[in-house]
Amino acid sequence: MIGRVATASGLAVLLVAGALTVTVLDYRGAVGDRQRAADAIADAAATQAAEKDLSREREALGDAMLGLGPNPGQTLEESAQRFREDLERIGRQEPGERRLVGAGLQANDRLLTVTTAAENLTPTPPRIREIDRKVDAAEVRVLAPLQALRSANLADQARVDRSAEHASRRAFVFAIIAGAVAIVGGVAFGWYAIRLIRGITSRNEQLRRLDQLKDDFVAAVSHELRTPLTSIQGYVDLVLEGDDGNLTDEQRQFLAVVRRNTNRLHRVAGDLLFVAQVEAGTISLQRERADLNEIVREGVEAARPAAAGKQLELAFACASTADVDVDRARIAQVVDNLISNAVKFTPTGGHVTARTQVHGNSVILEITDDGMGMSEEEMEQLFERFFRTAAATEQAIQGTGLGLAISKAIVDAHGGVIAVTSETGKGTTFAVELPLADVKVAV
Amino acid sequence: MSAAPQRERAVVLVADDDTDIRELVLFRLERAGYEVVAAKDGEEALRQAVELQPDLAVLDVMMPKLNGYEVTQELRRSEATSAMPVILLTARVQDEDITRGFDAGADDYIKKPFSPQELRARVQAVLGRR
Repeated sequence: MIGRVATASGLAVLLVAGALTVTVLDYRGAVGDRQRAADAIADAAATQAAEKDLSREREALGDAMLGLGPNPGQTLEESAQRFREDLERIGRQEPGERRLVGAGLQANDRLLTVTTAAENLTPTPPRIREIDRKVDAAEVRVLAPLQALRSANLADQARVDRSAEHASRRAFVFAIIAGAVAIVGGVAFGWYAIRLIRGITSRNEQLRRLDQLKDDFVAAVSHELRTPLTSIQGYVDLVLEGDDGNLTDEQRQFLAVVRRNTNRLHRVAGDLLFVAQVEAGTISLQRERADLNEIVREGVEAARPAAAGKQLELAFACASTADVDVDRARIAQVVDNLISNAVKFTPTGGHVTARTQVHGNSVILEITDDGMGMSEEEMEQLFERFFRTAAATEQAIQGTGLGLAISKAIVDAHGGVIAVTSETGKGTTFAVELPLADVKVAV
Repeated sequence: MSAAPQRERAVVLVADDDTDIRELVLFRLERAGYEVVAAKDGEEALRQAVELQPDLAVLDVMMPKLNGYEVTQELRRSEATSAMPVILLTARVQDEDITRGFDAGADDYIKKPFSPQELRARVQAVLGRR
Protein backbone atom coordinates (compact mmCIF):
# COMPACT_ATOMS: atom_id res chain seq x y z
CA MET A 1 0.00 0.00 0.00
CA ILE A 2 2.75 2.45 1.00
CA GLY A 3 4.64 1.54 -2.18
CA ARG A 4 1.76 2.62 -4.42
CA VAL A 5 1.35 5.89 -2.60
CA ALA A 6 5.07 6.53 -3.04
CA THR A 7 4.82 5.83 -6.78
CA ALA A 8 1.96 8.33 -7.22
CA SER A 9 3.81 11.00 -5.26
CA GLY A 10 6.98 10.31 -7.23
CA LEU A 11 5.11 10.75 -10.55
CA ALA A 12 3.73 14.13 -9.45
CA VAL A 13 7.18 15.30 -8.40
CA LEU A 14 8.65 14.19 -11.77
CA LEU A 15 6.00 16.12 -13.74
CA VAL A 16 6.56 19.33 -11.79
CA ALA A 17 10.32 18.95 -12.18
CA GLY A 18 9.86 18.48 -15.97
CA ALA A 19 7.82 21.68 -16.30
CA LEU A 20 10.40 23.64 -14.38
CA THR A 21 13.24 22.27 -16.48
CA VAL A 22 11.58 23.34 -19.76
CA THR A 23 10.98 26.84 -18.42
CA VAL A 24 14.56 27.22 -17.25
CA LEU A 25 15.95 26.00 -20.57
CA ASP A 26 13.85 28.58 -22.44
CA TYR A 27 15.14 31.31 -20.22
CA ARG A 28 18.71 30.22 -20.64
CA GLY A 29 18.26 30.15 -24.45
CA ALA A 30 17.10 33.77 -24.46
CA VAL A 31 20.08 34.84 -22.39
CA GLY A 32 22.37 33.10 -24.85
CA ASP A 33 20.90 34.96 -27.86
CA ARG A 34 21.24 38.26 -26.18
CA GLN A 35 24.78 37.54 -25.11
CA ARG A 36 25.72 36.78 -28.70
CA ALA A 37 24.24 40.06 -29.96
CA ALA A 38 26.11 42.05 -27.32
CA ASP A 39 29.34 40.20 -28.13
CA ALA A 40 28.95 41.13 -31.81
CA ILE A 41 28.57 44.79 -30.94
CA ALA A 42 31.53 44.75 -28.61
CA ASP A 43 33.57 43.15 -31.35
CA ALA A 44 32.49 45.85 -33.79
CA ALA A 45 33.51 48.56 -31.34
CA ALA A 46 36.82 46.89 -30.68
CA THR A 47 37.50 46.52 -34.36
CA GLN A 48 36.68 50.14 -34.86
CA ALA A 49 39.16 51.16 -32.22
CA ALA A 50 41.76 48.79 -33.55
CA GLU A 51 41.48 50.12 -37.06
CA LYS A 52 42.35 53.50 -35.61
CA ASP A 53 39.32 54.95 -37.29
CA LEU A 54 39.04 57.06 -34.26
CA SER A 55 42.17 58.93 -35.23
CA ARG A 56 40.19 60.41 -38.09
CA GLU A 57 37.51 61.49 -35.74
CA ARG A 58 40.20 63.00 -33.67
CA GLU A 59 41.25 65.02 -36.62
CA ALA A 60 37.70 66.06 -37.25
CA LEU A 61 37.08 66.88 -33.66
CA GLY A 62 40.35 68.50 -32.88
CA ASP A 63 41.00 67.77 -29.23
CA ALA A 64 37.87 65.78 -29.05
CA MET A 65 37.99 63.00 -26.58
CA LEU A 66 35.94 59.95 -26.63
CA GLY A 67 35.05 58.88 -23.17
CA LEU A 68 32.61 58.03 -20.53
CA GLY A 69 31.01 59.86 -17.71
CA PRO A 70 31.11 63.49 -16.81
CA ASN A 71 34.83 63.56 -16.18
CA PRO A 72 36.58 62.13 -19.13
CA GLY A 73 40.23 62.99 -18.39
CA GLN A 74 41.46 60.09 -20.48
CA THR A 75 43.33 59.50 -23.71
CA LEU A 76 41.47 58.48 -26.82
CA GLU A 77 42.76 54.90 -26.55
CA GLU A 78 41.76 54.65 -22.93
CA SER A 79 38.37 56.05 -23.73
CA ALA A 80 37.89 53.62 -26.57
CA GLN A 81 38.88 50.79 -24.23
CA ARG A 82 36.44 51.98 -21.57
CA PHE A 83 33.73 52.30 -24.18
CA ARG A 84 34.35 48.75 -25.37
CA GLU A 85 34.31 47.46 -21.86
CA ASP A 86 31.13 49.32 -21.25
CA LEU A 87 29.51 47.72 -24.23
CA GLU A 88 30.68 44.33 -23.06
CA ARG A 89 29.22 45.04 -19.69
CA ILE A 90 25.93 45.87 -21.35
CA GLY A 91 26.12 42.55 -23.09
CA ARG A 92 26.67 40.74 -19.84
CA GLN A 93 23.73 42.27 -18.14
CA GLU A 94 21.25 39.74 -17.02
CA PRO A 95 17.60 40.22 -17.88
CA GLY A 96 15.91 41.66 -14.85
CA GLU A 97 18.98 43.63 -13.90
CA ARG A 98 18.34 47.32 -14.20
CA ARG A 99 21.45 49.30 -14.83
CA LEU A 100 21.99 52.40 -16.88
CA VAL A 101 25.13 52.64 -18.87
CA GLY A 102 26.20 55.96 -20.24
CA ALA A 103 28.50 56.58 -23.10
CA GLY A 104 29.58 60.02 -23.97
CA LEU A 105 31.53 61.97 -26.41
CA GLN A 106 33.26 65.13 -25.64
CA ALA A 107 34.41 67.49 -28.32
CA ASN A 108 36.52 70.40 -27.19
CA ASP A 109 34.44 71.95 -24.44
CA ARG A 110 31.23 70.83 -26.02
CA LEU A 111 29.67 67.76 -24.67
CA LEU A 112 27.69 65.26 -26.55
CA THR A 113 26.16 62.74 -24.24
CA VAL A 114 24.79 59.48 -25.42
CA THR A 115 22.95 57.48 -22.90
CA THR A 116 21.83 54.05 -23.65
CA ALA A 117 19.32 52.40 -21.52
CA ALA A 118 20.38 48.81 -21.59
CA GLU A 119 18.23 48.19 -18.63
CA ASN A 120 16.49 44.86 -18.52
CA LEU A 121 16.43 44.60 -22.31
CA THR A 122 13.91 47.37 -22.40
CA PRO A 123 13.71 48.53 -26.00
CA THR A 124 14.46 52.11 -25.08
CA PRO A 125 16.41 53.89 -27.83
CA PRO A 126 19.71 55.50 -26.88
CA ARG A 127 18.89 59.03 -25.98
CA ILE A 128 21.14 61.55 -27.53
CA ARG A 129 21.35 64.98 -26.18
CA GLU A 130 22.92 67.02 -28.88
CA ILE A 131 24.99 69.95 -27.83
CA ASP A 132 26.80 70.65 -31.04
CA ARG A 133 26.04 69.24 -34.49
CA LYS A 134 29.70 69.55 -35.39
CA VAL A 135 30.41 66.23 -33.90
CA ASP A 136 28.17 64.46 -36.33
CA ALA A 137 30.84 62.12 -37.57
CA ALA A 138 31.70 60.88 -34.10
CA GLU A 139 28.06 60.72 -33.25
CA VAL A 140 27.47 58.39 -36.15
CA ARG A 141 30.42 56.29 -35.12
CA VAL A 142 29.15 55.88 -31.63
CA LEU A 143 25.56 55.57 -32.55
CA ALA A 144 26.21 52.76 -34.97
CA PRO A 145 27.09 50.15 -32.32
CA LEU A 146 24.55 51.55 -29.93
CA GLN A 147 21.83 51.26 -32.49
CA ALA A 148 22.97 47.75 -33.29
CA LEU A 149 22.73 47.00 -29.61
CA ARG A 150 19.36 48.57 -29.49
CA SER A 151 17.99 46.52 -32.37
CA ALA A 152 19.59 43.41 -30.96
CA ASN A 153 17.97 44.25 -27.67
CA LEU A 154 14.64 44.76 -29.38
CA ALA A 155 14.83 41.45 -31.22
CA ASP A 156 16.10 39.83 -28.09
CA GLN A 157 13.33 41.32 -26.04
CA ALA A 158 10.71 40.11 -28.49
CA ARG A 159 12.20 36.64 -28.44
CA VAL A 160 12.42 36.63 -24.68
CA ASP A 161 8.90 37.93 -24.46
CA ARG A 162 7.74 35.17 -26.77
CA SER A 163 9.61 32.45 -24.99
CA ALA A 164 8.62 33.87 -21.64
CA GLU A 165 5.05 33.79 -22.86
CA HIS A 166 5.54 30.23 -24.07
CA ALA A 167 7.30 29.28 -20.90
CA SER A 168 4.64 30.78 -18.74
CA ARG A 169 1.98 29.10 -20.83
CA ARG A 170 3.85 25.83 -20.60
CA ALA A 171 4.45 26.37 -16.91
CA PHE A 172 0.76 27.07 -16.52
CA VAL A 173 -0.18 23.85 -18.33
CA PHE A 174 2.37 21.92 -16.37
CA ALA A 175 1.23 23.52 -13.17
CA ILE A 176 -2.31 22.41 -13.95
CA ILE A 177 -1.13 18.91 -14.79
CA ALA A 178 1.11 18.80 -11.75
CA GLY A 179 -1.71 20.19 -9.61
CA ALA A 180 -4.09 17.57 -10.98
CA VAL A 181 -1.54 14.85 -10.40
CA ALA A 182 -0.89 16.20 -6.91
CA ILE A 183 -4.62 16.22 -6.17
CA VAL A 184 -5.05 12.70 -7.55
CA GLY A 185 -1.95 11.63 -5.66
CA GLY A 186 -3.20 13.30 -2.50
CA VAL A 187 -6.58 11.65 -2.79
CA ALA A 188 -4.92 8.31 -3.48
CA PHE A 189 -2.59 8.86 -0.57
CA GLY A 190 -5.51 9.79 1.69
CA TRP A 191 -7.40 6.71 0.55
CA TYR A 192 -4.49 4.44 1.16
CA ALA A 193 -3.69 6.19 4.43
CA ILE A 194 -7.23 5.56 5.62
CA ARG A 195 -7.00 1.93 4.58
CA LEU A 196 -3.60 1.71 6.21
CA ILE A 197 -4.88 3.22 9.44
CA ARG A 198 -7.89 0.92 9.34
CA GLY A 199 -5.51 -1.98 8.80
CA ILE A 200 -3.36 -0.86 11.71
CA THR A 201 -6.41 -0.36 13.90
CA SER A 202 -7.72 -3.81 13.14
CA ARG A 203 -4.26 -5.24 13.64
CA ASN A 204 -4.04 -3.39 16.96
CA GLU A 205 -7.38 -4.84 17.88
CA GLN A 206 -6.08 -8.26 16.87
CA LEU A 207 -2.92 -7.74 18.93
CA ARG A 208 -4.97 -6.57 21.87
CA ARG A 209 -7.09 -9.70 21.63
CA LEU A 210 -3.98 -11.84 21.32
CA ASP A 211 -2.56 -10.11 24.36
CA GLN A 212 -5.76 -10.79 26.24
CA LEU A 213 -5.59 -14.42 25.09
CA LYS A 214 -2.01 -14.63 26.27
CA ASP A 215 -2.94 -13.23 29.69
CA ASP A 216 -5.85 -15.66 29.95
CA PHE A 217 -3.49 -18.41 28.87
CA VAL A 218 -0.92 -17.50 31.49
CA ALA A 219 -3.63 -17.35 34.15
CA ALA A 220 -4.93 -20.75 33.03
CA VAL A 221 -1.44 -22.25 33.00
CA SER A 222 -0.81 -20.89 36.44
CA HIS A 223 -4.09 -22.44 37.60
CA GLU A 224 -3.39 -25.74 35.92
CA LEU A 225 0.05 -25.83 37.53
CA ARG A 226 -1.35 -25.23 40.96
CA THR A 227 -3.71 -28.18 40.92
CA PRO A 228 -1.08 -30.91 40.36
CA LEU A 229 1.32 -29.02 42.62
CA THR A 230 -1.25 -29.20 45.38
CA SER A 231 -1.32 -32.99 45.07
CA ILE A 232 2.45 -33.42 44.84
CA GLN A 233 3.09 -31.13 47.76
CA GLY A 234 0.26 -32.53 49.83
CA TYR A 235 1.27 -36.18 49.42
CA VAL A 236 4.98 -35.50 49.87
CA ASP A 237 4.10 -33.72 53.10
CA LEU A 238 2.07 -36.74 54.18
CA VAL A 239 4.99 -39.08 53.55
CA LEU A 240 7.47 -36.71 55.21
CA GLU A 241 5.31 -36.53 58.30
CA GLY A 242 6.16 -40.21 58.66
CA ASP A 243 2.83 -41.26 60.13
CA ASP A 244 2.72 -44.16 57.68
CA GLY A 245 6.10 -45.64 58.47
CA ASN A 246 9.56 -44.31 59.11
CA LEU A 247 11.69 -42.99 56.33
CA THR A 248 15.40 -43.49 56.00
CA ASP A 249 17.45 -40.30 56.14
CA GLU A 250 18.19 -40.64 52.46
CA GLN A 251 14.51 -41.01 51.56
CA ARG A 252 13.74 -37.99 53.67
CA GLN A 253 16.49 -36.06 51.91
CA PHE A 254 15.16 -37.04 48.46
CA LEU A 255 11.64 -36.04 49.38
CA ALA A 256 12.93 -32.73 50.70
CA VAL A 257 14.35 -32.11 47.23
CA VAL A 258 10.93 -32.85 45.72
CA ARG A 259 9.33 -30.52 48.23
CA ARG A 260 11.82 -27.72 47.55
CA ASN A 261 11.23 -27.96 43.84
CA THR A 262 7.46 -27.95 44.15
CA ASN A 263 7.91 -24.73 46.11
CA ARG A 264 10.00 -23.35 43.33
CA LEU A 265 7.46 -24.33 40.71
CA HIS A 266 4.79 -22.81 42.87
CA ARG A 267 6.69 -19.53 42.91
CA VAL A 268 7.11 -19.60 39.13
CA ALA A 269 3.38 -20.17 38.72
CA GLY A 270 2.74 -17.27 41.06
CA ASP A 271 5.19 -15.03 39.18
CA LEU A 272 3.61 -15.88 35.83
CA LEU A 273 0.21 -15.07 37.16
CA PHE A 274 1.43 -11.85 38.70
CA VAL A 275 2.97 -10.73 35.42
CA ALA A 276 -0.31 -11.52 33.66
CA GLN A 277 -2.10 -9.40 36.24
CA VAL A 278 0.32 -6.53 35.76
CA GLU A 279 -0.18 -6.74 32.00
CA ALA A 280 -3.92 -6.77 32.43
CA GLY A 281 -3.64 -3.83 34.84
CA THR A 282 -5.48 -5.75 37.54
CA ILE A 283 -2.79 -5.61 40.20
CA SER A 284 -4.35 -4.43 43.45
CA LEU A 285 -2.58 -3.41 46.63
CA GLN A 286 -3.67 -4.00 50.19
CA ARG A 287 -1.94 -1.08 51.81
CA GLU A 288 -1.20 -0.88 55.48
CA ARG A 289 1.20 1.06 57.66
CA ALA A 290 4.48 -0.86 57.82
CA ASP A 291 8.05 -0.26 58.87
CA LEU A 292 10.32 -0.73 55.90
CA ASN A 293 13.24 -1.42 58.26
CA GLU A 294 11.38 -4.38 59.65
CA ILE A 295 10.59 -5.74 56.20
CA VAL A 296 14.23 -5.39 55.19
CA ARG A 297 15.44 -6.96 58.42
CA GLU A 298 13.21 -9.97 57.76
CA GLY A 299 14.51 -10.16 54.20
CA VAL A 300 18.11 -10.04 55.40
CA GLU A 301 17.44 -12.76 57.98
CA ALA A 302 15.76 -14.94 55.38
CA ALA A 303 18.82 -14.61 53.15
CA ARG A 304 21.31 -15.44 55.92
CA PRO A 305 21.50 -19.19 55.27
CA ALA A 306 22.18 -18.67 51.55
CA ALA A 307 24.73 -15.94 52.32
CA ALA A 308 26.44 -18.09 54.94
CA GLY A 309 26.68 -20.91 52.41
CA LYS A 310 28.83 -18.63 50.23
CA GLN A 311 30.67 -16.98 53.13
CA LEU A 312 29.15 -13.65 52.18
CA GLU A 313 29.11 -10.78 54.61
CA LEU A 314 25.48 -9.68 54.78
CA ALA A 315 24.86 -6.40 56.60
CA PHE A 316 21.98 -4.05 57.20
CA ALA A 317 22.33 -0.37 58.03
CA CYS A 318 18.91 1.05 58.79
CA ALA A 319 17.42 4.50 59.02
CA SER A 320 15.84 5.53 62.32
CA THR A 321 12.29 5.45 61.03
CA ALA A 322 10.94 4.29 57.75
CA ASP A 323 7.15 4.03 58.02
CA VAL A 324 5.49 3.44 54.70
CA ASP A 325 1.92 2.77 53.57
CA VAL A 326 2.43 -0.29 51.44
CA ASP A 327 1.16 -3.72 50.55
CA ARG A 328 3.48 -5.38 53.03
CA ALA A 329 3.59 -8.76 51.31
CA ARG A 330 4.35 -7.19 47.93
CA ILE A 331 7.12 -4.94 49.23
CA ALA A 332 8.56 -7.89 51.14
CA GLN A 333 8.57 -9.74 47.82
CA VAL A 334 10.61 -6.90 46.26
CA VAL A 335 13.06 -6.82 49.18
CA ASP A 336 13.48 -10.60 49.17
CA ASN A 337 14.00 -10.57 45.45
CA LEU A 338 16.69 -7.87 45.57
CA ILE A 339 18.55 -9.41 48.49
CA SER A 340 18.45 -12.93 47.09
CA ASN A 341 19.62 -11.59 43.71
CA ALA A 342 22.54 -9.86 45.41
CA VAL A 343 23.45 -13.07 47.21
CA LYS A 344 23.10 -15.13 44.03
CA PHE A 345 25.25 -12.83 41.92
CA THR A 346 28.04 -12.23 44.42
CA PRO A 347 30.87 -14.75 44.45
CA THR A 348 32.06 -16.47 47.59
CA GLY A 349 33.55 -14.14 50.17
CA GLY A 350 31.82 -11.02 48.83
CA HIS A 351 29.73 -8.40 50.57
CA VAL A 352 26.05 -7.58 50.40
CA THR A 353 24.74 -4.54 52.21
CA ALA A 354 21.18 -3.34 52.67
CA ARG A 355 20.72 0.25 53.72
CA THR A 356 17.68 2.43 54.34
CA GLN A 357 17.95 6.20 54.35
CA VAL A 358 15.35 8.91 54.70
CA HIS A 359 15.49 11.69 52.11
CA GLY A 360 12.82 14.34 52.49
CA ASN A 361 9.47 12.62 52.09
CA SER A 362 10.94 9.39 50.81
CA VAL A 363 12.84 6.45 52.11
CA ILE A 364 15.51 4.94 49.92
CA LEU A 365 16.46 1.31 50.21
CA GLU A 366 19.78 0.37 48.67
CA ILE A 367 20.99 -3.17 48.19
CA THR A 368 24.66 -3.10 47.25
CA ASP A 369 26.89 -6.00 46.35
CA ASP A 370 30.46 -6.35 45.13
CA GLY A 371 29.52 -9.16 42.79
CA MET A 372 29.86 -9.71 39.07
CA GLY A 373 27.94 -6.61 37.97
CA MET A 374 26.63 -6.09 34.48
CA SER A 375 27.08 -4.04 31.32
CA GLU A 376 25.25 -0.81 30.39
CA GLU A 377 23.24 -2.69 27.79
CA GLU A 378 22.13 -5.27 30.29
CA MET A 379 21.13 -2.57 32.75
CA GLU A 380 18.81 -1.08 30.16
CA GLN A 381 16.94 -4.34 29.70
CA LEU A 382 17.18 -5.55 33.25
CA PHE A 383 13.60 -4.78 34.22
CA GLU A 384 12.11 -6.41 31.14
CA ARG A 385 10.25 -9.66 31.57
CA PHE A 386 12.26 -12.83 31.04
CA PHE A 387 15.49 -10.87 30.62
CA ARG A 388 18.53 -12.62 32.04
CA THR A 389 22.08 -11.29 32.07
CA ALA A 390 24.77 -13.16 30.16
CA ALA A 391 26.45 -14.03 33.46
CA ALA A 392 23.22 -15.45 34.87
CA THR A 393 22.82 -17.71 31.86
CA GLU A 394 26.49 -18.71 31.64
CA GLN A 395 26.81 -19.54 35.30
CA ALA A 396 23.43 -21.26 35.33
CA ILE A 397 22.17 -19.11 38.18
CA GLN A 398 18.57 -20.07 38.83
CA GLY A 399 15.81 -17.72 37.81
CA THR A 400 13.03 -17.09 35.33
CA GLY A 401 13.89 -13.49 34.50
CA LEU A 402 10.61 -12.38 36.05
CA GLY A 403 11.79 -11.24 39.48
CA LEU A 404 12.95 -7.74 38.58
CA ALA A 405 10.07 -7.13 36.17
CA ILE A 406 7.74 -7.98 39.04
CA SER A 407 9.71 -5.87 41.51
CA LYS A 408 9.48 -2.90 39.19
CA ALA A 409 5.74 -3.41 38.69
CA ILE A 410 5.23 -3.53 42.46
CA VAL A 411 7.37 -0.46 43.16
CA ASP A 412 5.66 1.44 40.31
CA ALA A 413 2.24 0.52 41.68
CA HIS A 414 3.30 2.07 45.00
CA GLY A 415 4.29 5.31 43.29
CA GLY A 416 7.94 4.55 43.93
CA VAL A 417 11.05 4.27 41.79
CA ILE A 418 13.46 1.40 41.30
CA ALA A 419 16.85 1.91 39.68
CA VAL A 420 20.10 0.08 39.17
CA THR A 421 23.72 1.15 38.90
CA SER A 422 26.34 -1.42 38.08
CA GLU A 423 29.76 -2.01 36.68
CA THR A 424 30.95 -5.28 35.22
CA GLY A 425 33.17 -7.05 37.72
CA LYS A 426 32.73 -4.36 40.37
CA GLY A 427 29.25 -4.87 41.69
CA THR A 428 25.68 -3.66 41.56
CA THR A 429 23.44 -1.39 43.58
CA PHE A 430 19.67 -1.48 43.41
CA ALA A 431 17.85 1.49 44.84
CA VAL A 432 14.16 1.57 45.68
CA GLU A 433 12.56 4.85 46.64
CA LEU A 434 9.19 4.77 48.36
CA PRO A 435 7.12 7.66 49.69
CA LEU A 436 7.12 7.85 53.49
CA ALA A 437 3.80 7.50 55.26
CA ASP A 438 2.20 10.76 56.39
CA VAL A 439 3.55 11.46 59.83
CA LYS A 440 0.78 11.90 62.35
CA VAL A 441 1.79 14.63 64.76
CA ALA A 442 1.15 13.65 68.37
CA VAL A 443 -1.02 16.18 70.22
CA MET B 1 -34.12 -22.59 59.49
CA SER B 2 -33.03 -26.06 60.32
CA ALA B 3 -29.69 -26.38 62.04
CA ALA B 4 -27.49 -29.35 61.39
CA PRO B 5 -28.30 -32.26 63.69
CA GLN B 6 -26.14 -32.55 66.77
CA ARG B 7 -23.41 -35.10 66.16
CA GLU B 8 -20.53 -36.55 68.01
CA ARG B 9 -18.14 -35.53 65.29
CA ALA B 10 -18.57 -32.62 62.90
CA VAL B 11 -19.40 -33.73 59.36
CA VAL B 12 -17.46 -32.08 56.56
CA LEU B 13 -18.48 -32.31 52.92
CA VAL B 14 -15.49 -32.21 50.57
CA ALA B 15 -16.16 -31.56 46.89
CA ASP B 16 -13.38 -31.61 44.28
CA ASP B 17 -13.32 -33.12 40.82
CA ASP B 18 -9.59 -33.89 41.17
CA THR B 19 -9.51 -37.29 42.86
CA ASP B 20 -6.01 -36.85 44.28
CA ILE B 21 -6.80 -33.57 45.94
CA ARG B 22 -10.17 -34.81 47.15
CA GLU B 23 -8.52 -37.83 48.74
CA LEU B 24 -5.81 -35.67 50.26
CA VAL B 25 -8.32 -33.33 51.87
CA LEU B 26 -10.45 -36.25 53.05
CA PHE B 27 -7.41 -37.92 54.55
CA ARG B 28 -6.28 -34.76 56.33
CA LEU B 29 -9.70 -33.98 57.74
CA GLU B 30 -10.32 -37.55 58.82
CA ARG B 31 -7.03 -37.45 60.62
CA ALA B 32 -8.04 -34.22 62.25
CA GLY B 33 -11.05 -36.06 63.65
CA TYR B 34 -13.85 -35.06 61.34
CA GLU B 35 -16.39 -37.24 59.62
CA VAL B 36 -16.05 -36.62 55.92
CA VAL B 37 -18.27 -36.99 52.90
CA ALA B 38 -17.00 -36.67 49.33
CA ALA B 39 -18.52 -35.32 46.15
CA LYS B 40 -16.86 -35.18 42.73
CA ASP B 41 -18.82 -32.40 41.08
CA GLY B 42 -21.02 -29.44 41.91
CA GLU B 43 -24.36 -31.17 41.47
CA GLU B 44 -23.39 -34.06 43.71
CA ALA B 45 -22.06 -31.60 46.30
CA LEU B 46 -25.36 -29.71 46.34
CA ARG B 47 -27.39 -32.92 46.65
CA GLN B 48 -25.24 -34.22 49.51
CA ALA B 49 -25.33 -30.88 51.26
CA VAL B 50 -29.14 -30.86 51.20
CA GLU B 51 -29.50 -34.54 52.15
CA LEU B 52 -26.77 -34.86 54.76
CA GLN B 53 -26.79 -31.37 56.23
CA PRO B 54 -23.03 -31.40 56.92
CA ASP B 55 -21.54 -28.98 59.46
CA LEU B 56 -19.22 -27.57 56.81
CA ALA B 57 -18.79 -27.73 53.05
CA VAL B 58 -15.32 -27.49 51.54
CA LEU B 59 -15.87 -26.80 47.85
CA ASP B 60 -13.44 -26.64 44.99
CA VAL B 61 -14.17 -23.68 42.72
CA MET B 62 -13.51 -25.23 39.32
CA MET B 63 -15.82 -28.20 39.21
CA PRO B 64 -17.94 -29.62 36.41
CA LYS B 65 -21.73 -29.17 36.24
CA LEU B 66 -21.92 -26.55 38.99
CA ASN B 67 -18.84 -24.62 40.05
CA GLY B 68 -18.05 -23.76 43.67
CA TYR B 69 -19.53 -20.26 43.42
CA GLU B 70 -22.80 -21.62 42.03
CA VAL B 71 -23.08 -24.34 44.68
CA THR B 72 -22.51 -21.71 47.39
CA GLN B 73 -25.20 -19.46 45.93
CA GLU B 74 -27.65 -22.37 45.76
CA LEU B 75 -26.91 -23.28 49.37
CA ARG B 76 -27.52 -19.70 50.50
CA ARG B 77 -30.78 -19.54 48.56
CA SER B 78 -32.35 -22.60 50.19
CA GLU B 79 -33.56 -22.15 53.75
CA ALA B 80 -32.34 -25.60 54.83
CA THR B 81 -28.74 -24.82 53.90
CA SER B 82 -28.55 -21.03 54.05
CA ALA B 83 -26.48 -21.03 57.26
CA MET B 84 -24.16 -23.84 56.27
CA PRO B 85 -20.52 -22.70 56.52
CA VAL B 86 -18.67 -22.88 53.22
CA ILE B 87 -14.94 -22.84 52.57
CA LEU B 88 -13.89 -22.49 48.96
CA LEU B 89 -10.83 -24.40 47.90
CA THR B 90 -9.32 -22.61 44.98
CA ALA B 91 -6.41 -22.57 42.62
CA ARG B 92 -7.75 -19.27 41.37
CA VAL B 93 -5.86 -16.87 43.52
CA GLN B 94 -6.48 -13.54 41.87
CA ASP B 95 -8.18 -10.93 44.01
CA GLU B 96 -11.30 -10.85 41.87
CA ASP B 97 -11.72 -14.64 42.23
CA ILE B 98 -11.56 -14.38 46.00
CA THR B 99 -13.94 -11.43 46.07
CA ARG B 100 -16.34 -13.37 43.89
CA GLY B 101 -16.27 -16.24 46.38
CA PHE B 102 -17.20 -13.98 49.28
CA ASP B 103 -19.89 -12.34 47.17
CA ALA B 104 -21.38 -15.77 46.52
CA GLY B 105 -21.62 -16.28 50.29
CA ALA B 106 -18.49 -18.25 51.21
CA ASP B 107 -17.14 -17.95 54.75
CA ASP B 108 -13.51 -18.45 53.91
CA TYR B 109 -11.20 -19.63 51.18
CA ILE B 110 -8.09 -21.78 51.01
CA LYS B 111 -5.60 -21.26 48.20
CA LYS B 112 -4.09 -24.26 46.47
CA PRO B 113 -1.54 -25.46 47.20
CA PHE B 114 -2.27 -25.44 50.90
CA SER B 115 -0.40 -26.72 53.90
CA PRO B 116 -2.05 -29.29 56.19
CA GLN B 117 -1.80 -26.79 59.04
CA GLU B 118 -3.67 -24.15 57.09
CA LEU B 119 -6.44 -26.56 56.12
CA ARG B 120 -6.89 -27.70 59.68
CA ALA B 121 -6.75 -24.20 61.13
CA ARG B 122 -9.29 -22.73 58.75
CA VAL B 123 -11.71 -25.61 59.10
CA GLN B 124 -11.47 -25.39 62.85
CA ALA B 125 -11.95 -21.64 62.82
CA VAL B 126 -15.07 -21.78 60.66
CA LEU B 127 -16.61 -24.66 62.64
CA GLY B 128 -15.78 -22.99 65.95
CA ARG B 129 -17.57 -19.83 64.87
CA ARG B 130 -20.92 -21.57 64.75
